[in-house]
Amino acid sequence: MYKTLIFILFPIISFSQGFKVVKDTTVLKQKIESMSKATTSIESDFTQEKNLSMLSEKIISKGHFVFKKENLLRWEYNSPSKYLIVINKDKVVIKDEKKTTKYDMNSNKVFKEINDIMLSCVQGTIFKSNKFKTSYFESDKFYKLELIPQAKNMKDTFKKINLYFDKTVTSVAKMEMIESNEDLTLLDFTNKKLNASIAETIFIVK
Amino acid sequence: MHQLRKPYLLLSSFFLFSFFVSCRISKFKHPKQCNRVLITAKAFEPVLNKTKATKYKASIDVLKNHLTGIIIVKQTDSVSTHIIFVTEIGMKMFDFEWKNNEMKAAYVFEPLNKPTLINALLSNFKQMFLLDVFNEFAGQCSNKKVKSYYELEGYKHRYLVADSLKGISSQNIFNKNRKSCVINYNFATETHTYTQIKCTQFGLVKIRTELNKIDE
Repeated sequence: MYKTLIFILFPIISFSQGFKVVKDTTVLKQKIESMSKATTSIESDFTQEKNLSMLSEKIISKGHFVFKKENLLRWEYNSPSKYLIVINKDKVVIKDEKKTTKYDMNSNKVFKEINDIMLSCVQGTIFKSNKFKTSYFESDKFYKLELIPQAKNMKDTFKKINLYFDKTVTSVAKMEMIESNEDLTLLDFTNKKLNASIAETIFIVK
Repeated sequence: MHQLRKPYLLLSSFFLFSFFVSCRISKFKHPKQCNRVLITAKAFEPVLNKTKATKYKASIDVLKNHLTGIIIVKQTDSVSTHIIFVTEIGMKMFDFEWKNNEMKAAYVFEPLNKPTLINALLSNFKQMFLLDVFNEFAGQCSNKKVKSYYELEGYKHRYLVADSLKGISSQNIFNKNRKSCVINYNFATETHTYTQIKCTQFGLVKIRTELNKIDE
């Protein structure tokens, strides 16, 4: 389950071109911190592209996510399948086309940890976690945070996770997750709305 | 307490009786005629496409796990086919490889990696996608109950209800006269594709799988 939820957090896209090391990381870290503090909600469409290296095939999924401070998250796939994950404080609900399953975060340490990682990733503050070794890069358009997992269970699955911010550092633009077997999961966020008013009822699944 | 026991026992007996009646093999007994044939794509449409990947929305209930996601099946070379199951969020649960007439697990997500479970899934997917059926001999039979079915050689009781026009509609596998696995197929005659495959595996490891083809 740990790995499962990590996947949600680490979205998409491969930008190898033109990145150089950020010389003064303090300024960038401050910008991300300010962004995180200023963000009360995020709403966005997303496209997830799973590249299976063995088959040279892609699975493209589309959906919508909503985050509201402090810890409310609705992550919803609309195609090709309907699939919903909702985190509402200490509760997690997963609903697929056939079944709804509810979990209590307090009864499971792993869930608690996953929750922390998910939310820090959505807010961009994951770099503060000691679970990753972080390197900082920039191009003309993006800042890139390269996160190398340090814990064994994560290392077994992920080789590297890249988090992209636009140069104004207003939100996470894209994420990219590279697995040990070279499979790649990319998440691209579009139609973003920051700090809009969001009803808490959307984080309740019956 | 005693008052409760009687209806409970009656109910249990009814279910046991229903179970034995429904699992009879008699449907495929007493064929009117049976010809030994080699099963080829002319006998009925194969489930898999040799030249491109087939994708399905998948739901698998096994032991206490309810798994959903997407299954991709692709022939990677002349002797190998891969069956890869990825959850909605992009996590690979397993990669099964059919190579040189043998099904093996190339990758399994660690929490699922239990030998009994994986062996049951390997067997299940091999049967569902008919990987071990083509270029094998079978008796092509018919009787009063089933107009056209194949009894596969090398198995005690494995029957495919199929014909060249409607494709395969079901696969029934028995173990000592009891059903061990039943697989139902929905075949679209216009597109010559299988739009849905539903499989129920009985026995020690019970598995329910539903695959719905994704059109691209």
